[in-house]
Amino acid sequence: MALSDYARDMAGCSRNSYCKFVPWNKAKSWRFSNLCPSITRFNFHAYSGGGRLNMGLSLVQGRSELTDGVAEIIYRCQLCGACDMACKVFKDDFDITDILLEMRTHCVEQGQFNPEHMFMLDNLKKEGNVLGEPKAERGDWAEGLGLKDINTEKADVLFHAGCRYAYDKDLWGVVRGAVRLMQAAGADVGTAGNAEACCGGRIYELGFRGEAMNYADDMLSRIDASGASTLVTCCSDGYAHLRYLYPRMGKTPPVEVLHITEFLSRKIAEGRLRMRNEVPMVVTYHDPCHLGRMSESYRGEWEGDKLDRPMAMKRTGKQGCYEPPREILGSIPGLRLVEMERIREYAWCCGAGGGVLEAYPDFSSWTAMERLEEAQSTGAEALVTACPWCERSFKDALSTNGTRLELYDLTELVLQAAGIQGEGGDSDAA
Amino acid sequence: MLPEEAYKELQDALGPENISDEPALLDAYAWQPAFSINPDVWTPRPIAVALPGSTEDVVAIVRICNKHGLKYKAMCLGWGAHAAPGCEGVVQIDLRRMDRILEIDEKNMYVVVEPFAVAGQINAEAKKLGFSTHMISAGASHSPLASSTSGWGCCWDGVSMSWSSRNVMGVEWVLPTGDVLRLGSLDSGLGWFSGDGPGPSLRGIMRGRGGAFGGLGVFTRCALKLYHWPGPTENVPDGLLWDTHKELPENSRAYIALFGDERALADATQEVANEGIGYHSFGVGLGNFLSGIWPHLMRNEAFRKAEWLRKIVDVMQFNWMWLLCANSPGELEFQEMVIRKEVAEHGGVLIDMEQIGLGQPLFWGWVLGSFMGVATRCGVIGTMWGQDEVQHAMMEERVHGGEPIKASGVERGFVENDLPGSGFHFFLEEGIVSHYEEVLWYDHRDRKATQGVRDMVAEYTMMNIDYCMESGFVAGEPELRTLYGPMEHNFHEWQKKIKGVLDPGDSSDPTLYSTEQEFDLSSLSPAEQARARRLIEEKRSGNR
Repeated sequence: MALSDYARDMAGCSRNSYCKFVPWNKAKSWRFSNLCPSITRFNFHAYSGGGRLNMGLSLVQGRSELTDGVAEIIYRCQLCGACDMACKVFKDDFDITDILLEMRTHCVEQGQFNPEHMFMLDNLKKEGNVLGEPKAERGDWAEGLGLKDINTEKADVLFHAGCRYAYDKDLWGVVRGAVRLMQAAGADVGTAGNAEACCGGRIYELGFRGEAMNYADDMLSRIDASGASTLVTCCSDGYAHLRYLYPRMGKTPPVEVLHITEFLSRKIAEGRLRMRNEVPMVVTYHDPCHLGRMSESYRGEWEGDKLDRPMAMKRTGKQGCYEPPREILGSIPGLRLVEMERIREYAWCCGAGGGVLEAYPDFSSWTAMERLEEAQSTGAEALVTACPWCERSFKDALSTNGTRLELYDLTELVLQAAGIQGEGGDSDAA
Repeated sequence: MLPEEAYKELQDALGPENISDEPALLDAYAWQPAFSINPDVWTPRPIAVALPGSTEDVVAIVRICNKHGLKYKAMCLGWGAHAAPGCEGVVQIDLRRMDRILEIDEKNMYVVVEPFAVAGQINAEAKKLGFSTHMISAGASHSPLASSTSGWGCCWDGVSMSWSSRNVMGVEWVLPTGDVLRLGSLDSGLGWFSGDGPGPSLRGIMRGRGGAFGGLGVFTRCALKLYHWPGPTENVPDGLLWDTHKELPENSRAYIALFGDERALADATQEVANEGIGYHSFGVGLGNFLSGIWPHLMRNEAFRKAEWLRKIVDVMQFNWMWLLCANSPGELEFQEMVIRKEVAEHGGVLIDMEQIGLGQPLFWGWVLGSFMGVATRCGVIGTMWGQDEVQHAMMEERVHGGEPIKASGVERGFVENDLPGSGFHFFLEEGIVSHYEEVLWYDHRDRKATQGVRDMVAEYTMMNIDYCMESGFVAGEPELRTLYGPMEHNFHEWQKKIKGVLDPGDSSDPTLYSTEQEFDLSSLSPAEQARARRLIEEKRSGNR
């Protein structure tokens, strides 16, 4: 597809501004009724989902040119998908997110990309991750966990750590804890260690589609080698990409893909993990975009008038992973969940996605602070999430302004409740 | 092209991040498919977009534009061609950064807002305190300030909350020259509670015939009436549209009545309105409604050819809905008794919508403004309307005037086939005014449709003149004003005089306020054109 192939879809925008706000049935207040970080922060209509479509139409009709300024507008967006979801409450004959992705590919084809994103691509090519960390250290996080090496052994479950978890030592407790919980629940888990590489989703989002295809092939070969029937990941980004982008690229993973919250929720429901300890805490939960609305599985392409697409082929955000995290929180004794105003498919983004964290850190931080304010407004003691990019974004934002709010990954609370404490501790969960 | 010096001055006044002349960004302001009579959809591209954050910023922009001989046009949510520049060389003032709800005065029942405070946001805050605000048929995604000070705005809650121009109280107004005028009690330091004094009472000047649509400066703050909301303070249902689930508030009901003919409908609904009954009170065609929500269904050939379905729609042609929100069981009992009596006496059938599973989505969809034309799925909405003091006259126009034109538009393939048989119809102010719209759904990507709707404007306009109804189609304002002015006390001449006094530099985009253009009758047949000319002359002579 080329951007011009989306001309009719872009012309479908009726300019109603639904892409800017939470669905009006869900508006609880003035303060938290904005939905799109980009338009909320930068204000010009071109920064909204609809405005981007208008701008894209202008480009393909030759009314204007792709300049540095236009490319900046295109990239000052987390690709969080909120505009798409809000638009589709009524207008479901085009998919804003797909068009936004295509606009980025168009930028790359036209040589319009920013240095930070090129740096990420170079990192990926050299080290197999967008962070630029040494490939030889990718598997260090798993040291001492007794995980199978899928390069030499078969395993029922292939665990994909993802770039952020593999290298961000602040988050190692989460990813190591996730493995301990899986093992405690009796799973036969293996990982690729240093041979694991990025899923490629982030560079797809940056517009480098060809490179992303290579990493998808790489991932599929690892899956194949592992002999696993299930792939589990803690990385929400990877989860969404495996479920949507991979099939869209014609590279559907031949295994069941689960986010760790889905895996744990199942094991708790099956009685394989028991939440025996009280965690007396009032928490609020942040739905990561890539775990929620962006994780809906690929539904195929529809030929012809998209207005006639059957519901089953529409991506509305409603089928994201919303219940498993809440089921887990609900299973923890003593813990009380208070919801924020913007949740599930109309959740506000953490700010980190779409290359914004790397290229526009101020915007990323501003977006995170908006969410932290919303979390604080609930009266919760802690904000819980289930995505390393969200956690990184919130951690960084919290460190800069002194907001008093505890931050947890959901896995950390499960560890407490299951009584699995510290490195190498025995499980009393099963 | 914006002169470099002007750009620099705007940049200095607003900050570099709040001014842009990037062509692609500007085009995002020029894509306006709704309420457009331009078959090409694109409106004139502004030469720059400015984002003021305060009244002082607006004053600065206006003065810079005056200094450099530039025109400007303010917009809020920006839905519809009337929000965009009407001519070349205009600086678009996007009021998005001025989005606050400044005050909710519970005692005096008003809310003070900035231009980009959105109806859905205001409504959410007001309901927490037991109030509602009037919401226009565009729905929750509109600016009440814009609708009240500068445009038209009415809808199904009109029976209890009137229409936008009647809801505005104190106003802060940046005149076309950059001077700031405060209307009503505000100017006397007495707060926002009155738009008419003590202090200058200039609401008529402010609005002209139907709002200046950006032709008389910029409105930066205003107070709007609040109405009693007897429901709960927490109003967030499950679901987004048809999946909406939430119990109706205590003492609330959603009814639909079906009548055998237009006379029965007019008589019964007028009687009920005369009793001041109805939180919302309106009629809407089943097919019309469904085409907004389920356009794919309407495009289905089998559906359209289903004669049995046509008959069902015909049965529902003369329908009316009431949403009741009473303060007590006794009040609800009275309201229901009156409705039952009037419906029965006029041979109608009354259906409790909760009994057929539609009560909750429809009630909350309308009360929260989420079931709206602004968000049609099949393209955009066009609307042709009339307004009269008498419900019966409205019905006459609707059945014998509006519906045949709509049906003809469907036959010619201009607009979606929504099994036309009834439009959108409601009361204002306890029934003293009746308002009717023929709603047209069409795909603005289809040039045949956009050109066809352009042609239908001429047909509807002649119909309104024929029936002595007020007419409106906002983007056609320069033509309509020229046409209607001589029939309506030459209001167009008065508007030009007001414009001349308040805006000597003609800097505030005059397109929808004082620009005049001959009405285009060319789409009509020669015989129709001759008839139209006779009709126009006759009406103008009568006015003299």
